[in-house]
Amino acid sequence: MHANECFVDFILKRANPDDAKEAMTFQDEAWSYGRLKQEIDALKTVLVNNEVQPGDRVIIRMDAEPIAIAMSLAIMSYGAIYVPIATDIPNVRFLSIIDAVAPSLIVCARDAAEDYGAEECIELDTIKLHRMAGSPPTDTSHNQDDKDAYIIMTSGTTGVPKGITMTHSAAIAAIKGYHEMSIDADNRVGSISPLHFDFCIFDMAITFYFGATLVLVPKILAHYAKGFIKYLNEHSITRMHSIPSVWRPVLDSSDANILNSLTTLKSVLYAAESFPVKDLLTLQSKLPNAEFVQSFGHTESMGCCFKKLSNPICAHKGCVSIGKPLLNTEMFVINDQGDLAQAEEVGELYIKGPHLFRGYWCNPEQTNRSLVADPRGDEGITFKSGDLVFQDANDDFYFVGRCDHQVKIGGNRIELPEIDRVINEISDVSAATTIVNDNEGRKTIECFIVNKSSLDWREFVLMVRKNVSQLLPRYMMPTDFYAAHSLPLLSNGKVDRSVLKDVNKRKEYLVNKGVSI
Amino acid sequence: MERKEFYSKVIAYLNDRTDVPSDWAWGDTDNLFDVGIIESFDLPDLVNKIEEITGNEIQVSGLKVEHFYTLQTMYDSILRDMRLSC
Repeated sequence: MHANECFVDFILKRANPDDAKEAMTFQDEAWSYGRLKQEIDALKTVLVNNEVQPGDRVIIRMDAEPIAIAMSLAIMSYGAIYVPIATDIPNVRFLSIIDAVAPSLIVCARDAAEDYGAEECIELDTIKLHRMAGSPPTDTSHNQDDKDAYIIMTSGTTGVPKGITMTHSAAIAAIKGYHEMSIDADNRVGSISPLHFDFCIFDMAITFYFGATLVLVPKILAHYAKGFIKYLNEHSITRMHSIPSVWRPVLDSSDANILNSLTTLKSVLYAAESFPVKDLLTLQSKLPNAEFVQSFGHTESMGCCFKKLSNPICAHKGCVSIGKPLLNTEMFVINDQGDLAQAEEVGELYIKGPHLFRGYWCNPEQTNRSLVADPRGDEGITFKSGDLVFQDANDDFYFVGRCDHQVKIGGNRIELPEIDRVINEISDVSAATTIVNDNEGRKTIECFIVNKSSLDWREFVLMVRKNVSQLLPRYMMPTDFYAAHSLPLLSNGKVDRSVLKDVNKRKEYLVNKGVSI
Repeated sequence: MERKEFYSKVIAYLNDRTDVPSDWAWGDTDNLFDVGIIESFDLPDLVNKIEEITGNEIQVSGLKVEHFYTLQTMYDSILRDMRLSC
């Protein structure tokens, strides 16, 4: 592989401008591979005409639809850096991302009302381009032969989102690593991930790489079981790629036979969070002929392993295997003593391979904490993942948790300290902390607050919610709030979250023994 | 269905499901997600409830999460699409 190979050329190498094969579809709109290539070329001209330079960051803040997918490919193909951002994050957070990545262009849906202080706004069919001022600084701390392809913004403990930066060669290596997954070209791959998840990039890349058809599923259908099943059938989806929680409304549906009407689905791939074992077994029992695949990894490497699961799955120590490393990937486990862990021994997962990210955008300190020398003393850099895993006697890996306070909810990576920081800055809050409540794999955020305001507790919580909603994405909003007299502390002065996770132990700290709202 | 009737039925449902203060002033343009009245995981139930209230199936085409943000957007977007499909 050449260091300067383009990710887009790699995934579209099977397509040509005359190719009538359907590349992607969304609702009533279908694009052939030929049209996709033509649109990419046309959008590259739009970038040139808007004075975007190779290496510039271009933000797309849109839902996943064909024009947004084509624009993302045009950006990377042109040599600029694609930065997908969620459509529903608070404006304050979006502005902090603009500060961090200094884009030269922001691409939105034409009907989006936001004003980013652009020099000029250009409306173009269904999209709107915001031309941003100035020539921003570039992160030059890397080998310039291996260009950056995209940046995924994720929750950061300091309150500023981290920009995980992937190069073209790393993204290509990741897709090559999935070669064994081998998707036949006649497959129709359902994708419901928003643009700002790298899962969306994975879906797009793996589908186009194998010459299959990408079917974009409207995100609202993740909340509408009947509509979701109807859409899968109407679009003859054969493989559905999603986070596990997309299946939750279907599993919770009052219509016990809702899955019986699925006629085309042959394979379910899930990633980005654990599938609650009970829910997975239920889904498997209702789709007895479907193949189930778990893909596991981090945005820092797109993926590192996958596993075709048995139906029904066999859990080991309550965990579902995440499989073995991808092609050209090394995974190993380091225990508390800094040694390689034995079989069945839990330790921290380290990953090594050509698909590792280049670093966190303009954040060398954080990069140096995560990309470290190989702890075994071998040459090369490894990614210190923060995941706690173990290997069984067959070398299969199992995920058991995290070393830190990072959690995954609805596929979103959340640093709990970031939520704590925002709530602790509210003037009527004396102290606050958050934990994750795990109810048989279904996770929600619980917040404990020592309140010094004179407001009624319910009014106080509404005020807190309003404050949080102005600064953090909706998925970081705690579900339950508890009034506390004080918070349990460790000897080092930090909050002892383990006490708050124990419903009996925490009672002594809570007002009214813990009535949530 | 008239707007007023739709609002009162949805408010009655949300009052049952959430712990909003008893004197909460329901505004038709308040973002119900931002104040925590609707969590994203409650959406499936709300979708079912709107189908029950209106006696119609929600149209998938063009449907967005944003349509559930406020009472007004629910009525204007979702019920409009139902009417168009009839």
